[in-house]
Amino acid sequence: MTSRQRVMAALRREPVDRTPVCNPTSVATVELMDLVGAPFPDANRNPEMMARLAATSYTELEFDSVMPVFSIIQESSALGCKMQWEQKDNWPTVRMQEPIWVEPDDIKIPPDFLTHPDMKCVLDAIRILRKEYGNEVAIIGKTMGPWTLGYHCFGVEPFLLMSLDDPGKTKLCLDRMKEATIQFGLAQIEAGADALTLPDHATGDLVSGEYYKRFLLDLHIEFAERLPAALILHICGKTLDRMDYIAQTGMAAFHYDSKNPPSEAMSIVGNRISLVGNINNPETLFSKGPENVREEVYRNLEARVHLVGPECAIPLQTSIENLKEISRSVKDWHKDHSTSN
Amino acid sequence: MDLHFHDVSIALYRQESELGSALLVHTYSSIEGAQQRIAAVTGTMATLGEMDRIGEPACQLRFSCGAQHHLASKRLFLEACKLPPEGVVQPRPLSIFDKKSRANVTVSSLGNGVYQLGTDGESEVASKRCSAITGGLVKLGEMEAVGGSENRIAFPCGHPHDRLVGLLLVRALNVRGAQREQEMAAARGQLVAPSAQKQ
Amino acid sequence: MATISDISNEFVRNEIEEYIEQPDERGQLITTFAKVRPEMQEIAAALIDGAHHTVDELTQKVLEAGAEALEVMDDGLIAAMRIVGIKFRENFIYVPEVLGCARAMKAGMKHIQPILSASGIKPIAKVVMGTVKGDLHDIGKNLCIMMLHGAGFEVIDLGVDTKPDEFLAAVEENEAPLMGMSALLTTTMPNMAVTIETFIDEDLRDDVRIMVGGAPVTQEFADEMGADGYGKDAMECVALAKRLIAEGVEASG
Repeated sequence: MTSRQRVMAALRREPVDRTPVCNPTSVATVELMDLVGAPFPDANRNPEMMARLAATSYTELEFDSVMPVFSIIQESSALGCKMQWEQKDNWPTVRMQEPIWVEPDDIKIPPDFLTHPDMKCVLDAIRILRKEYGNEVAIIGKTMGPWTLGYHCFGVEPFLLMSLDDPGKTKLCLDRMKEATIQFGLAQIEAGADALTLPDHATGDLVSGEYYKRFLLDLHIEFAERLPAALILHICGKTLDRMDYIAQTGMAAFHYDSKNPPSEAMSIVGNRISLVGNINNPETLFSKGPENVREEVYRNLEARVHLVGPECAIPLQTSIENLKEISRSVKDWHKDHSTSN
Repeated sequence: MDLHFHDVSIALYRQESELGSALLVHTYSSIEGAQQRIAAVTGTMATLGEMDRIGEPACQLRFSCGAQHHLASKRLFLEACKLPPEGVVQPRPLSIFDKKSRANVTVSSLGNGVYQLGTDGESEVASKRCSAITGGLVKLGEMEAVGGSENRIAFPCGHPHDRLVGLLLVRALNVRGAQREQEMAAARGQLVAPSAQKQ
Repeated sequence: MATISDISNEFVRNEIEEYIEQPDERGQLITTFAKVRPEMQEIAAALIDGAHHTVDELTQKVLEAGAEALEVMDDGLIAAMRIVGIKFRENFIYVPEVLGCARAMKAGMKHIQPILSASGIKPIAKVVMGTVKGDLHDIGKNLCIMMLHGAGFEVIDLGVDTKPDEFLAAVEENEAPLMGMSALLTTTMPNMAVTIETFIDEDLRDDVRIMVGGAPVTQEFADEMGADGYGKDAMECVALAKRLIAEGVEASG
């Protein structure tokens, strides 16, 4: 199987020759930036650099996918949020302390939304990667969900307080913001993306599982219906209490965090949605060595998780050796078990 | 990230060599001058830590005792990267002025990797600080306390590493963890009344 | 010994009965509220319910009627936040509800703070707080700051995206014996280690106790980077702060 075939089959829970190694969120590191001469922040704003850096997950780390949308700021930047671009060793972020919206009527998706430089950079990078790698490797795009856009555009505290004080108003805001998610998603699919990561940070560290059901379940079902590509929902933190709802969305996969044990997560979702994850970033990939990475890879494989990878965007100082160990471990495990999934 | 050379990322790797475990300073950057910078950091580590350069072209490092000295190697690497490239690299002395006790702390090498710390301060503060700095060396150098005298410590490998001690001595002045570990070790095995127990 | 029926306010009684499961915590809260005047219990009930306008009105009313500011803060606001903290820890409520309660506490503290400042009460200690470099999240930090204020600390809030040099400068300038760092992203957590390293480089590490927290932070990570303590949430932050200050006093004594 090619890497692309492997990833797409796993997203459909079809048989594969081995578990794919996948990165729905960024594996950009300073070492990889050095390797290909594509440092942040430029690699977030220049399509050639973005494509070059994204490709390293396939060419250097032997992952089965590439994902060029390293950060989570493109849509918010295009919507008018104030940005903090940072340097090579730090992520660009949205200045949520300076929100741009207060009321539902403030929500406007500008007519030049998709041609904003930060958005166009992503679309061009996807085109470059599709042209360069053809059908070899799965290209995963990324479009932010409305809950996360709410954090960025309204501010985290005001948005959460709104959800408490006026759930009706919050739902109206989410409904208006979802069009940004859909527009950007469709554009990336047209540019050549095979799948889309959809981060929507209704994490268990902030809100309850019931919140997910109340505010986001129906929207996520709608995304699965309206976006004609495999969708990989990403929510950080503790999410076991909402995985049953997530499994009902019709999305292809759920990218889950190391706070959720693989076997428990699999027993909740069953065969309704694929799971991607969940190697710990700060304690394992960043702080420990290859043998610890291998342990976590094996734990996921033994639980029959469908695609293995880091739990989230990794710290930029993570070593290449630890990242290479992910693919090595998956191949070794399959060799030892001599089975296909 | 190397602030002295275009923010390139430099890392310290452990590798196997024909002489056993060795260290390699490495960067993935291919910009002009990167390999010279690597060579410079390697050379600085060799000087500051009295390490042997091995392999072809002498780019790997190892301690002559063959032991890994894991934590000390990390500290040695960090310190080597922090030094500006144009300066002359000098081994650190085995004595240092301690601001807090306003006294000099001296480390005497007794051979076989055993070291004795002392202070020329006469106050109780000076004595406490000498113990704390000893504890700092224990933590940073993965050393062990040895019997016979207070503030006497040794490398488990049984070999002297004077330059390494000199380097670590600077950092040992200010290692929060060292004091806490000392307290924990002192309290171990003691029966303490419930009211006096720390929560 | 006090019993639950000694608590006059029905809402507070129900909160303790329904949500406080650990016997020692239940006992402590019953003992506390049994001694609290009905007017303060009413303020506490409103805070737990997130009714910030009610807390605002009631606080003003009791202060005008001659209540001591410390009594209102301790018995009306802080006692209530203890229940909120336990509910949050046990996942009965989440951050939106906690924010609502924090808003209510702020509404009450708005009237109390000026009185306490004017009275010249000495704070327990100064503590510098900030979210680390590259991280723009501050919910957790703000909750901790509010609780620290309530517990009697003087807090220097550096805000978000705080660089190591800024932490250093604030600790030196304010001669703060305690510092707290927060991170909400796994990608920014390494900056906690960088900050601690900066304190070591500048020979200041021994002069300040450093605590860390934030949703992705763990005890293991805190130990690995050389922090003095780790707090899981705002309630633990205050307990940790008090312990670290006490340790500092002991060490220098």
